[in-house]
Amino acid sequence: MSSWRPGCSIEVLRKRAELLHQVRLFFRERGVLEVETPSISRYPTIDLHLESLTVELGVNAQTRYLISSPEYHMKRLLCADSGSIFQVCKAFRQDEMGQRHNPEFTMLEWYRVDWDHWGLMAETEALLQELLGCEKADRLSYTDAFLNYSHQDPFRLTTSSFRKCCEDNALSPPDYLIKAGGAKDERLNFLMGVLIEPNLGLERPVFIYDYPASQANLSRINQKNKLLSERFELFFRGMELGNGFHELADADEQASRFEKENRLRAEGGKTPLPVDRDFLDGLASGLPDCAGIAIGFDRIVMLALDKTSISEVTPFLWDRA
Amino acid sequence: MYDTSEFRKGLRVEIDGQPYLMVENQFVKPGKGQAFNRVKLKGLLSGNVIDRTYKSGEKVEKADINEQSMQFLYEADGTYHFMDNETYEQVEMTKDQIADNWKWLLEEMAVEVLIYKGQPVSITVPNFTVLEITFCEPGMKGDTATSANKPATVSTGAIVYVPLFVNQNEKIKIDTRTGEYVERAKS
Repeated sequence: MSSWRPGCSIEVLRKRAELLHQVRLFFRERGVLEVETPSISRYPTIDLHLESLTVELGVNAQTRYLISSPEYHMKRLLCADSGSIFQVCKAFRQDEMGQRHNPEFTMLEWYRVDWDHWGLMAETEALLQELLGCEKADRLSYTDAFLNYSHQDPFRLTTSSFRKCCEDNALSPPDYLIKAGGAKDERLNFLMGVLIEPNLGLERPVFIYDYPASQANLSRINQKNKLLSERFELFFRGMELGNGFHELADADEQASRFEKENRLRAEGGKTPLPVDRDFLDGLASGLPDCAGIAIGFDRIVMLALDKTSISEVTPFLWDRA
Repeated sequence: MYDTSEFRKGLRVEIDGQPYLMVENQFVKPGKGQAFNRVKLKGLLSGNVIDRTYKSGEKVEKADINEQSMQFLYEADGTYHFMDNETYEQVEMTKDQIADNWKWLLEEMAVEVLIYKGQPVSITVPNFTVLEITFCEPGMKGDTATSANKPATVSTGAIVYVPLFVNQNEKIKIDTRTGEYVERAKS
């Protein structure tokens, strides 16, 4: 049969290469250093909802992990005074497969030293305009996004208002979310994914900022309002493109967030993961004030070429790999 | 059991004791949150379409259901008899199970019989069939332009609307999915 053939045309690959070239030029002109960090790491990303693929190098060798993002390594470079850096690399995630997902995908990640997340949003906007020829981006708070598209205040969501919202919008949430005592962030993530995201950035890109502190991940907590984090996400045409942080620099807080993730993993029946000591030691020695963002490059290509599926912009997707 | 990572269109699953066909599967991963599979499922017995959302890693039962090619033998006293082409085993179905398909069933016709937990539950007939008109009002020669139709009874007893120029004893091709006349069959 023809399964040896690429799943997308060579013309698509030409355009893809052109976009990649533009990305490199963009950062070169801005004095951001391109770096390469490992794909195979001694430590996995510690996240309740991310599963790293493992690599076995030998019978007695310690299990290693394919990176789900280059974040820990890039931050170790920042701690070593690299200054602003960017990277285009492959990232890997177990069980993520669908119209917009492939277990192996291309990530564009960069960090700006002495910048906060607002500055980084502006630069991301400039990059998008250059790559996609789109308008300037909107900026909408997480709360307003919820109020606009689900008529729910995310900070006041209750079991009954969640149920009602699902009913009103003909959503069919899994049982564990409907039960009383269901985790609030799980409900918010569900509404974000199925109800709100499809409405975001239909005309022009939009940054959603002020994520709840409970979803801070690796971002700082807002010092004026401790309910909020300095995390943002980027959406365009109903699709999530990227996630950015004003980066958490406090090693102790980072360590306790890892502990919390591992505790939640254990509660959810998942294996707790080994903590990356080198990353924490790097933070302890001093991460400069910086903001960083990771963008799914395949999705940029999809938008640039008006394609709706990652299979249309990737020569050898999972099935053909 | 099927894991969410095995979900795809065409999968046959069992939920609350009912077999369903997966007609849509959408993977959703909100930012840093839990991943979900949103699926649309069509009831293989009821025909109803339902929506379900599964957390990644959840499992659903496989449905013990499959299709078998069979030949329609005959109908007697409201019972329809079919024969498996390979095993020559015969199965019986009621008129209710046959539903509207009785309109197109001809002896020796090849059909697909859906077997659920060892029992036949429904059939699918070929998309097109050719039947003879056993009765209709006389045709109007030359009238091929108007779009008017007239009822015609075909050999199975079903009524099909045909153009005015079609005559009794002629054979016509019918789309069994819509029950509509397609064209006069070349004889």
